[in-house]
Amino acid sequence: MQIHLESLSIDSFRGLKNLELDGLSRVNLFVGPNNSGKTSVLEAISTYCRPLDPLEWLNTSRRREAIGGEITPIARLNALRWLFPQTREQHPNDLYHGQVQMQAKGGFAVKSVLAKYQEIRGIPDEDTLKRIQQRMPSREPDLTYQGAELQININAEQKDLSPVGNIQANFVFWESAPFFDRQRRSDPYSLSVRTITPVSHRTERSQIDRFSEATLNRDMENILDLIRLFDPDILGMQILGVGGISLFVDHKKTGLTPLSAFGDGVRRVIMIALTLSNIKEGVLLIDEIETAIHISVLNDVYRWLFDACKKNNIQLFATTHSLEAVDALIKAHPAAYDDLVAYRFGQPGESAKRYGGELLNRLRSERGLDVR
Amino acid sequence: MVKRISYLIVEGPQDIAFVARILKTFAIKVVNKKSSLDPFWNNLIPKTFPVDDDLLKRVPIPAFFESDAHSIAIHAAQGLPRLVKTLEETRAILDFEKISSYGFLLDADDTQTPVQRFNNLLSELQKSPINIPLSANPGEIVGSAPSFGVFILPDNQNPGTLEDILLQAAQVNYSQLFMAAGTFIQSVDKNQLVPKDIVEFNKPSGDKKARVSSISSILKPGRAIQNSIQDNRWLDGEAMNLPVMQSVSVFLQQLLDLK
Repeated sequence: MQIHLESLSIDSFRGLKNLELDGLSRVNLFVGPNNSGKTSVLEAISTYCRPLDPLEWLNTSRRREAIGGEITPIARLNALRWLFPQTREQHPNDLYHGQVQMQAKGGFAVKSVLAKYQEIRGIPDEDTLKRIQQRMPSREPDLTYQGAELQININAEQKDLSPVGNIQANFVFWESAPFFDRQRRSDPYSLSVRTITPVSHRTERSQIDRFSEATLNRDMENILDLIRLFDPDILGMQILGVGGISLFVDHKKTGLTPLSAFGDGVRRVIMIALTLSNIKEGVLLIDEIETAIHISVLNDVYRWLFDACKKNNIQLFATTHSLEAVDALIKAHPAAYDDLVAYRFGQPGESAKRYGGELLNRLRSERGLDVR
Repeated sequence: MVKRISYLIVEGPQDIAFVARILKTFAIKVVNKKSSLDPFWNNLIPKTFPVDDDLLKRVPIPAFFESDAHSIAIHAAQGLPRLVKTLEETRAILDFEKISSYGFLLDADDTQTPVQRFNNLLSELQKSPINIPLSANPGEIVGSAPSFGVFILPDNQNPGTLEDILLQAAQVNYSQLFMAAGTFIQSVDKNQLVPKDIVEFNKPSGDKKARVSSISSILKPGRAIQNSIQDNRWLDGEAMNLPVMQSVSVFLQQLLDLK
């Protein structure tokens, strides 16, 4: 089964420059020190998988924000800008422009993405102005507004490898103006992609959304198998409207118990399992794959994850700071080294080192070396 | 001063002690403390125990040597596949482009000529994912940044092992012990031993290894041969001028740019 991305070349994205990731596999692990670009690569992949979807660009740009933190409309717009390369030469008063460029090989139809961001200032059209004023009635109507144009060009191939050619999409965002996309982006130029951040399992809204999707996919029994690795007494899960909608776990000892009453480990595994269920034939991105899961169950959880990815043709990209996580992924399937690869990122601008599964196993098992 | 960084792969701790003794003549000394080690090598220090799930296995760490001008790691591994994999792993974990020189120092053994051993090593290197310019003959050094070479003991020409060199050296510096060890080995009545007792002795280089061990057991009773090579006079004075010693020493000088 051909994987979606066999290689990825990121010419520019956030602080990443000329990064080549050759020989990608089913399970791809990113290791390296802080600020080496691991999370940026996950963000680059998430936009590459849905390049024509403006909401993916916006969501990706906001994923690093703290949950529940207040954010100004200008900061929201700037978050999108920061997906694009920044330079010291840019004067704060200049209108920023920058571009993101990526190419990939593999089963996914999209072969290259070029996105251009142009900061703009001015007065939006009447409809947009009305929406801004409805949202922010106290704002002076005659002020100029800050906005941004996002122009996206992709090159794609059909399944028979014949070129589709260049496809372009343009979007305009204004500060304070709500943005909505009228087109449902399930075209051949997008892959199902989901990101699990180190805090995703703590947002109940995400859990409820993904539980609903998994229930609609009739995948709950499979998901419960994974959750029972953690706690064999879990019987099932339900959404209940008790003082607001919440996700409840049916537990042999405690009965129906709010998910929020469980520890981070169970919540994290539930989040991973629910997410997997909704991205068959897609891409799963996990930032800090070790988060909240105790070492004693890492092997079992990763084996389940590995199997689920293979069975459902899901390509997994994960970051980690944990040697235990690296070891557990190696041991998850000792006979399937071809399905695992790790990349070690160094300082910004340095190329990433690639460790195929067999070499990774030797470095860890036979040499005891730290690959992070 | 930027140090010249070099990496050498050998077959055992005795080879490390042997090379260390040559490096000592260039004022390059072993590094015992991690805090004194050039940080370049940090990634070669294992972080996990046990290695290979084996509680008795020695931690696979190179021996490190330094002077003001040099930082050298010497790594022991056994068997050609493992020797080549060691290089592959080290290249993967280090910023290998910062290495000035690297190479192998192996025994020919008594059943192969140096050229045969060298060709077997080349064949193993060519099978591996390592893509490096290879020298055409043992003792030849190719490339400049980094330079690469292979030396096959005892002298790139004759079958043999490190023990051949040590016995020649012992004839110079411990002539009486050399003679006595020979007499002792010859006096052994193998008929008094069961086959299992003399499996190692009956191997092609068993006799030479036994004689080296006998000398070492007088110089350093109860200690490994590498301790004796390190602490005793095997390679002192005139022994360093033996043609076989000169041959190894010149190779190391050229490969590692020793002055």
